[in-house]
Amino acid sequence: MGENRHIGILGTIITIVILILLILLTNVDTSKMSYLKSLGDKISRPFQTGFTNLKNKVTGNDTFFSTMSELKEENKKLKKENQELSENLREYEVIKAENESLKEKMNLTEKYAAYDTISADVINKDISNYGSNLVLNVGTKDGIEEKMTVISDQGLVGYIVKANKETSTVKVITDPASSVSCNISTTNESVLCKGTLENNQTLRVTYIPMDADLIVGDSVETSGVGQIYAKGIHIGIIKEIITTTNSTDRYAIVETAVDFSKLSTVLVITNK
Amino acid sequence: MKKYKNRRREKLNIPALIFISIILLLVFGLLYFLQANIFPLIPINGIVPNLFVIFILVIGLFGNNFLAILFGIISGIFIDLSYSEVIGITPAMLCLVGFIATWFDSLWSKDERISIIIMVILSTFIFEFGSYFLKSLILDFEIESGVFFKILAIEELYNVLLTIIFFGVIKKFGYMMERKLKRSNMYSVEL
Repeated sequence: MGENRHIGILGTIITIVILILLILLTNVDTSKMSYLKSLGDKISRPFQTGFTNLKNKVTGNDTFFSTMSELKEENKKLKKENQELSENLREYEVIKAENESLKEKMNLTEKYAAYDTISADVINKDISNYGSNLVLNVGTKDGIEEKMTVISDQGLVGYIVKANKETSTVKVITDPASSVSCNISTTNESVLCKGTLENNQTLRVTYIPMDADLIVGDSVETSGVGQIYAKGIHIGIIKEIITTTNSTDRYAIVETAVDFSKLSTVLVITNK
Repeated sequence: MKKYKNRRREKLNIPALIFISIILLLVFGLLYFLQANIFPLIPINGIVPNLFVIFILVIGLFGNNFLAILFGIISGIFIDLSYSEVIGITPAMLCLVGFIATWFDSLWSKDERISIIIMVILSTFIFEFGSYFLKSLILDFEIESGVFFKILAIEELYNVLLTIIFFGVIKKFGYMMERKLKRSNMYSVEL
């Protein structure tokens, strides 16, 4: 009985370790693993310092230590100064973040001056792994209605699918159930951009006319067809063109202009 | 693992149900907070677990059909109202999970870690596959089976790891709920 209990606890601990490792390995950017180096430095530093001091003693190169008390005093003073500066820096960072948020809202309104817009903050994101809807902090009491276009500083975000009194839900263009009628800006060809489950930063371009000449880097924008999205809103650029043996099946991948993982402020277009 | 059970018809005891329901509502609130705010910060390869499936499964296993279906509907409607454009798929699928959980209870022992893990895997599969399939029918979009199963596999793994870690807590909570409901039924059993 006691042995089983121990095995159970051990199993739980091992599972927790596995879970933590999985989360770390799939989320940490390996190029930014400088903390491992600093950890190594922390471990080796005492030994290294000890060896250097010993070497200095032996070689008579230890005159530095005569001024140790002065150094300690100076170190104390510098530490105090450093603390004050850190506090100032924290205050500065808070003000900077506030300033950036206000600036972002201001830029957005100026950029889309032709439209009547309402500024909104993203307050929640879809909890499911199979959808990417967003929740905004504005609702019908602010003049939000269903099928209104939502944009950000970089381009198209989606449209309002549900408006409650205080909040509203946005169907994002990368959602698997979303499709947007678009134009390729250089050739003016009409295509359809669909969201996919695979990646929330890309769209799949389908219904490409057989004679259409697409080039990687072409800009894609809304065509205005479909009565939902206003015309001429930037969506993204063509990242890749996939040609198949059957030319009618070829498709392209569009990288969205909006970085949905960092999206925090949007504008809802209230007129078209 | 096979379990033989002689089920008796039991009357619903309203005070006990109200007490358990209040506790379950609080647990739901906590799980919603974790699902919406904490797990998005610690995903595995961008995928988060589904705590609601485990929640309804536990209610179905240790509670009863009525509670599982009631909480399947309440939590499903709440989730759909908050995030979805189609209301009804999540409550329907959570009800199904609750219903299946009571069936699992008659088949397997809920005292063994392995049987709970198998139930979590099956429930997650049924819920996610059903939801995705129904959504694709209603909203008329193409099913991406390859990507779907890739995401589902990671979600299953996350759910299983959480079940292993919190097995003790789940069991304690479940038996507390079961005891409370049974004790209250001592005076209201139809023999």
